[in-house]
Amino acid sequence: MGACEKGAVMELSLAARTVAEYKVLEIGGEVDVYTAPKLRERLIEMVNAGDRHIVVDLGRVDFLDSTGLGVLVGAHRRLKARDGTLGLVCPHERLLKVFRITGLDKVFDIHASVEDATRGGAARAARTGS
Amino acid sequence: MPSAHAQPATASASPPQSPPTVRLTFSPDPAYVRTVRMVAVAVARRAGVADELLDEIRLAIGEACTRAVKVHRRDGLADPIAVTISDGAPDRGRGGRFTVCVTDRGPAEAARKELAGGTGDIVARATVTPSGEDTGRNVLDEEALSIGVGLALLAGLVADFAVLDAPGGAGTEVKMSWPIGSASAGAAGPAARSEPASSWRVRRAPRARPGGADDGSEGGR
Repeated sequence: MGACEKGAVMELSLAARTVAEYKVLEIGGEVDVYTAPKLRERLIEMVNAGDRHIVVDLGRVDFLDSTGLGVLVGAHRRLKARDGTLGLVCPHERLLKVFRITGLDKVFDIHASVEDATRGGAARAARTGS
Repeated sequence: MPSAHAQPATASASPPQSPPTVRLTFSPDPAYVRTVRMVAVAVARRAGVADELLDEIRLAIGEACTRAVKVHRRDGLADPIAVTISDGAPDRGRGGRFTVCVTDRGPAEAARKELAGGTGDIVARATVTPSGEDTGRNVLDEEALSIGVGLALLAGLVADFAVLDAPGGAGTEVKMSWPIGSASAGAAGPAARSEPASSWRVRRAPRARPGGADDGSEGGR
């Protein structure tokens, strides 16, 4: 499974779309130490391309570990440094648990759905510094 | 006889009467962590570990292996990482536990310090806004942060978890165990779940009671 092709990471899928003033990045599969760099690259690309209000949708993620959390923290910080926002969509308890155990549920804006996450007010959120 | 730190070679391994079910070593490459996760979960299922614990096992073993890979990368070590998985036989049904040990060549004292940091440190570092530039330092910082997150996650997830000096030489052994059979039976293991994530537990020398529940591992720094 992708073993012959360096750089072809099969275990992780990424798809971006625009919803109102947000860029929604839908992640599928597993985010671990091997696949997380692919996610990191994509988020960096998006920020460099000028995206400032990003929502990361974890609804189809089967596995998320500390490396994945580190990438999300990195993106959160990068966006914050540019007056942007990072929202997360995490409807599954097994992933929510991971944020809670590490205390990172206090750092991120976590929503139950993309609809909730893109309801609007990204500019408002940036002003209140959340 | 046993000091808190220096474990005789056999004391930190599985009990003398049950050699590991599976023993593997892997090159410190991120690509193989998933392989180890899958093997460990397969052995756990076969051993009769409750379904509701399998997610936790998958995550915990993944974290331990990921941490080992990152330590080797950080310290420039090409040595393989060793994993032993024991299915609790022949003590199954009498308190035998599904046990996984992940051994890397990084310094154990540093590992214990990371663990002592706790989650407060993570939240603090996560909320520091870096300067606008995407410097190499920010990437390294992210890497260091996620090593700390990994340990905090492990300690918070796994009731029975210890960071030990690796038997026989320089290195760190991360040891975790889970009950076999119904999750409610002794799920907390010898170390209470309420123990703060910042402590680490040390196993004593081989227990006197045959096949019984694990004896006093103790909290402390």
